[in-house]
Amino acid sequence: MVISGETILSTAHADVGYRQGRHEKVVLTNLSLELRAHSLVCFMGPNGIGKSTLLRTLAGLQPLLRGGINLPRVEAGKSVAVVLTDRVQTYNMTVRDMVSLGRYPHLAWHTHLSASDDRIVDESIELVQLQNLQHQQVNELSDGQLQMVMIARALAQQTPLLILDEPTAHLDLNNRVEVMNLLRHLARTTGKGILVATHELDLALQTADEIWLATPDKSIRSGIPEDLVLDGSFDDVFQLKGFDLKTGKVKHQPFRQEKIRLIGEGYRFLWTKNALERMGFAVDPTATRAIEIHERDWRTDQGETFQSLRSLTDFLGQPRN
Amino acid sequence: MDSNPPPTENAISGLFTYFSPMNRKAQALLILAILLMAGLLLDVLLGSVALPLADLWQALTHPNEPSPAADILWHFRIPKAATAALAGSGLALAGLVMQTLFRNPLAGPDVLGLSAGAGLAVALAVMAGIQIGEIGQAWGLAATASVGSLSVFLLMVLFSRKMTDPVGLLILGLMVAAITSSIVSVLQFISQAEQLQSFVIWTMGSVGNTNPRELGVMMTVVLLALVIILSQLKALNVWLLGESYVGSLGIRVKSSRLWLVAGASLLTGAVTAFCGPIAFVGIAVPHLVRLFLPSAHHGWLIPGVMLGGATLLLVCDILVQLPGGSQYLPLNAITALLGAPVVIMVVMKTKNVRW
Repeated sequence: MVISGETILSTAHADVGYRQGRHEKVVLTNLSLELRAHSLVCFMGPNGIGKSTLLRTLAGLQPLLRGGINLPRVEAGKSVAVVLTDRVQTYNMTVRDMVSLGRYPHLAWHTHLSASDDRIVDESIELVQLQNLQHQQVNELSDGQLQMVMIARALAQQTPLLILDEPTAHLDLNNRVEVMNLLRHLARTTGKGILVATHELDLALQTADEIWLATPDKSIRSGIPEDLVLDGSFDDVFQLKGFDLKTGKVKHQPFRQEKIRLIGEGYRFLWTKNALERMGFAVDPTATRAIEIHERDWRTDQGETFQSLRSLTDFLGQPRN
Repeated sequence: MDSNPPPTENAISGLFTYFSPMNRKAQALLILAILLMAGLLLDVLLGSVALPLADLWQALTHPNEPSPAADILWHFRIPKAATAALAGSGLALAGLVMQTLFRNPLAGPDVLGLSAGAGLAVALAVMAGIQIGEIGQAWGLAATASVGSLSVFLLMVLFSRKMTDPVGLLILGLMVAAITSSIVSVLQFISQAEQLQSFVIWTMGSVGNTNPRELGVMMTVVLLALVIILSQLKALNVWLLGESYVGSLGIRVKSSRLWLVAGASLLTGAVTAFCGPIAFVGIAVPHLVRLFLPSAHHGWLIPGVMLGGATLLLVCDILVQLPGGSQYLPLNAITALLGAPVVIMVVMKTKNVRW
């Protein structure tokens, strides 16, 4: 279900980059982008194309070169919250202390948290499900937990827009999926617009409402993931080598002469096909040699029975006379 | 949403309220305050001239009756103890601010060259004819030394933009200190004998040579710097996360950094002008205090390091005169003896010295 909300962030003919004295380096140019409430936007592109530069500019951390950014910039720190790649290492700071830092734009100089600030901190910690760790020292957390804490800190800022730079870098697969699912859930439930720079092609395709794709000609193509896959935009940008986006799989060149017909269905069919293709067989419904996939085993048309795919592929791999 | 905890858990947690982190912080401050009182008392009681307690008490309660004890007490020991406490708290606060601002546990007014910068400024002032210890020139001396610190601090901020490695920054600071110190040596070589003598004594560090006027100037500048730093209390806590997060949390990065640099420079300048370049207090005290003050919030850390710095320098001052006899050891010899092991501990403990 995609709920299209109001526009939170938009840019008009924006140029981003760096200015040093008179010298100007434009990284991305003529950007007209739009980000809506309730949506998760994944921002992708090859390394070094300037993803961080755009994110920092949108977050107000560095000046825009030209054009305009429209943001409900009520007061600094209250419209955009960020999670950056900067490694955070602290001493004597608990998870709760760290999340409380997110309330700072709303606090007076003495940093006293009111009851409602405390409640917002509680809620933010609950959203990332770290209640059990809230009195733990931040420097004792795992990378995945630390990333969740930084997300909770950004949530406590209660901004309409959340920007995250590579939040899944350095995380293992499980944590990567968890972070992306959380962000998607947050976009749906809190109504925030969430912009994530990421390298996780497969995860982004499955979770994003929209993709911004930075192209080598310094512009950004935007669209829903499926459109960008089908019109070949991803292939243009990433020049994928051996990965077929349309099937979402690594391409295999059948290097054996043999074709095999598979009879079966469901997950067992898919993974059997995967194993055979990896071994260099072509799976072809017209082939004469056939393998039947059963509930507990695999049977060839010659009558051999195998309990595991390893024994099956070992058998098929032997030279036949 | 905030469900009530079950009653048993409540009762148990109630039992341990005294040991909850909140109270541990207050306890740590209380202990530091008691240590400071003890340090002040011992520093006043002990000295090269042994005075009976009765005489001291008589002098303390009747300040207007002339006696040798009253003279020593009011003109020497109390100003000296006050100077030590003030200088220690000022340097420790400067060290804390620098460690937070650079996110570098190895930052401090001496190791990053601020004290040396103040020293060069004072040496130039001495060459120009300003007398150290001259009553009328206390403000001038404090201002000169602060400008010296500030110049080096701004240079270090520039360096820190290129050099993100904490140890690298430390080495740059030591090199800047080496350059300024060698300029001072050249100045000493070409200066006249009497100027030289007062300057050489100054470089050894001492809290015993301040007159009441200088003490007043020092206190005023330290208080001013404290107000400046407290105005950046929110920013300080966020600086722990680094510059980008400071900006994203609605704090103006440049002005915040400038105020903190100004505050730390004033502290280093004021202390160095009257006590000489005192080493290791600024870098070591924040680490010692963090060991038993469980907080990263500067609302706790600032009073903590000020109490701790005052106590540490008082202890150093007591040790300086303790060996008996009328000789005083150079203060810097003692502060290095206590402070350098702390730095060694920090380097050894944290493989990746950055937070």
